[in-house]
Amino acid sequence: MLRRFSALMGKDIKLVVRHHHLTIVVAVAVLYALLVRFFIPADLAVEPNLVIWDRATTGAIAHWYRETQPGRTKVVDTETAYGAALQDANRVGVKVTGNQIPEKLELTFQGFEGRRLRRLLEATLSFQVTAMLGGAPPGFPATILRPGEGAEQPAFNLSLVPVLVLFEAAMLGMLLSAVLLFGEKDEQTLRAYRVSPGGPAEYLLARSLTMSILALISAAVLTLLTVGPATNWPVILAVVFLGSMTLTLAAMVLANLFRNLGQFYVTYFLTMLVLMLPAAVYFQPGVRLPFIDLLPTYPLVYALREAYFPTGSPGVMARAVLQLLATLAVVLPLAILTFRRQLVVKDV
Amino acid sequence: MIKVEELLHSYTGNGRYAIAGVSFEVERGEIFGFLGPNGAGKSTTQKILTGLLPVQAGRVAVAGQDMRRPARSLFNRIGVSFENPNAYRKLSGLENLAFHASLYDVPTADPMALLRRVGLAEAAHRRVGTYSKGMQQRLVFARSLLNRPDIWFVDEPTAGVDPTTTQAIKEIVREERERGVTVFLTTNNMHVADALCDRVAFLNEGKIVTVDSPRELKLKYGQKVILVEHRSEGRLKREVLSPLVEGDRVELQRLLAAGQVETLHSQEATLEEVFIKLAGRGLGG
Repeated sequence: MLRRFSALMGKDIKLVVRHHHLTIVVAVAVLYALLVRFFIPADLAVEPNLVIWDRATTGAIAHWYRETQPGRTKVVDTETAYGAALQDANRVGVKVTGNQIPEKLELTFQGFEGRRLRRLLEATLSFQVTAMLGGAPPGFPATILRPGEGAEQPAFNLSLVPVLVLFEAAMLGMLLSAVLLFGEKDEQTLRAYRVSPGGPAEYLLARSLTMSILALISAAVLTLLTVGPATNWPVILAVVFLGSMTLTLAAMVLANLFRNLGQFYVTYFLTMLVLMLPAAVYFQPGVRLPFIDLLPTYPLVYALREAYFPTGSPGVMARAVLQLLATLAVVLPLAILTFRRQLVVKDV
Repeated sequence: MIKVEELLHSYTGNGRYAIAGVSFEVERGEIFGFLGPNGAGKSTTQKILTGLLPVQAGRVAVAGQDMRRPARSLFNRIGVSFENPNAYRKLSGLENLAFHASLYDVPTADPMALLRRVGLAEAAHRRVGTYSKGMQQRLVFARSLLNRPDIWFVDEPTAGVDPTTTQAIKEIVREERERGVTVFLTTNNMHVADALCDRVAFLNEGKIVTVDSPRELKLKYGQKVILVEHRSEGRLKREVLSPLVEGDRVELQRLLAAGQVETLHSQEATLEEVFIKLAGRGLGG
């Protein structure tokens, strides 16, 4: 049994290399790393820049913005300069009038700013002016339900890493395992396997293990080139391995229902759409979709985030490992059953 | 070694049967030919016998095992040579055989020795994708012998191979029979069947028309006459003489004694002629 299993793995590894799947996976990982390091900004702030024309004698507002937000503040002292600065479509104007204190603030918007942004700017200015006038700004006692999730946010480009690892390690693995399966159906080599003592369990485990090795290589390359070597490797490798095993088996179950890649594409993309929903939730944490946490990609992406950017919630990682193991325990027998049934009844 | 009773198989499930009540037995050490035109149901029967298709109705036993639920260990005892070459094209010939050898729980033959036996030693390290169809056919043929099977299913072993290789393949089949292997040979090539088989079954439209030895079939359905070509008075003459008629026997002896006989052919039927007589159609179509 062990000899058969290692023979199947050896064969799969040779096929993966000779079909250039390994090259593709490493190349995509390097491409992602380049995107993260050099093309995707670290800060994806959507706040507009400000032009401040502070005509109050103290110039307190202009001074405060220049001190606190120097990168996004331009201070002018003439109407012409104020008008010229507002030619930049990504700029909001703040005109302050008054003597010792700012008495009147006029905001000039370009027109496409959202209501939320306008209210935020108004609130900030109101808060600041209240403080300058010597009033006490209102206080808001807050209770944080999930203290870990409020920790320091990673740079935007690095925050993409868990999703990219998920995408490449899991989703690409699904596609490549399906490609191998269809190659075998086309060559009819599965028939030759079926008249040997080898069973579907060994075949499926060897295939998913091979794909998991690919996923580990991909995750390691991407991690080293983006986050660097100092990270939580045991958890990253464990969840990538389990996630890839689970998703490869799921891909084999689905792909086995079709005769070729052309027939499988639509199902693959629909499946991928569903499995990538946790990535959307990852970027919009406020969004909650029913049953989304049952998807194997959900614990995967959050455990990866916790491993890369710890927030003090190690339970996320432990829960992810357990959930992936439980999913694997369901998917593996299902895969064996459908594989046996589909191959014998349909002779493919 | 193989026992089939009232086997039925339908691909469509609407009462149209690709195999319609087939029964036969194959003895240990026998070369049993399954002969019929394309679409007669030969490959379907072989797929059922090798577990590639389920037994829908009837009884099938291979090496004493019910093929409704064959144990995986049965596959240590059988070898299957497929009609369509089905090897991994990205692996070399040797890698293909080495991989399949590792799948068995029993001692296996040396892959290189097998490649040598089918004339592929020099191409052993080349990827199968670069092989000709004939070479791939030989590779698949060699692969089926890896586990030194007791029961060997061979499907159209000479399709698409040159005459020299055909001869070599026939020789290997005979050698395996000498080793005591039971051979189930599926073919529509009457010459191969005639040369190799102890018994043949004629299959037509999913039904067995007859089962017998090639010799008996040819004698039974042929004519017991001899076609003699002889030269007399400087001219070539042809005569059909029956060994059962006294006058013909005397004439044949005279011609032989005079040294005038140039060719002498018995006129038993070919297997194809027997098949046409029984099935009403040829083996080619």
